[in-house]
Amino acid sequence: MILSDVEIQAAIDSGRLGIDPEPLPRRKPIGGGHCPYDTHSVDLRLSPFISIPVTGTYSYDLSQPGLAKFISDNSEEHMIHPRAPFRLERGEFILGMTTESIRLPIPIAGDSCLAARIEGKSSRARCGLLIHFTAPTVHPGWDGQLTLEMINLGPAPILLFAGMSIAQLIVEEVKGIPTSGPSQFQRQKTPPGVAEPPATS
Amino acid sequence: MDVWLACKVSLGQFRAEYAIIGEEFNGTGFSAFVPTEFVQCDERPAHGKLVSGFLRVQVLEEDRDLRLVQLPRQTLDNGQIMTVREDQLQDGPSPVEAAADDSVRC
Repeated sequence: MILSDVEIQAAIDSGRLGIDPEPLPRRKPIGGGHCPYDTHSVDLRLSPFISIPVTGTYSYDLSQPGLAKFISDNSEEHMIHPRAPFRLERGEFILGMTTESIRLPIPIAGDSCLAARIEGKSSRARCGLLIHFTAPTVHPGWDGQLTLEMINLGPAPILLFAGMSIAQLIVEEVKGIPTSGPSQFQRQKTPPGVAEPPATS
Repeated sequence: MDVWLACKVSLGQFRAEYAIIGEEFNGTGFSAFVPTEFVQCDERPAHGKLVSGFLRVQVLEEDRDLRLVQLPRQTLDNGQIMTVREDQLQDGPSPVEAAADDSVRC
């Protein structure tokens, strides 16, 4: 079940959901100005820090165990200047991050918790900007900023400003409480590395 | 229960993260990007340079000398939960706090 803007704000107030810094204002001000909330989503902004893969003759070997280091060694972090946008060229791929840190604590008891997913904004998409192309899910238990996989599929460069609304967060109710206890791993790999045989009656 | 898993540490793609390389109980390698707050190092990592360090993990299950642990983030290889050996882990306060005076936080 997707949470409405009112329920998203209630979840923030109750601590079931954390968004830091909190998106404000909660209501569209009568004198004009931007409200980050839509009927069932809240906007997230682009952090000034982006990571740009370095063009080279290398290949990504997805099977190598040190892949994270290899990716990092072949990318460079840049900071978007407060008064100058980053020009994302046609076909260019970079990593971005949300300004906001998202927290979805898993309660100890109860019958539900929250998850979320991140989606692009249609205005950006119409220009050809993708902000993610993998699973958009933010799992229960997550605590941190969200990494954005950004690519310009449009016909022209796109200017990215630090602090611009870049994505929308949709918050969903999860039935049940995920557990990290042993029961979660029945018939999956146990520490000895073998699957438990199914119980027979 | 939080414990510290021995690993190798390198700079991440962002200043707020590190790239870590670890091993499962059977020597299978894995790597992940994790927020810096989950990592302690013997010395500061630099671009392209791996240093020894520790990653804060949560023990989920024990079986003899093996431990099922949850990492703070998904690995690039095989999920967020790994089987490691007990001797790969250190208990208690951060290993850097317990080490000699010339140890350095990442």
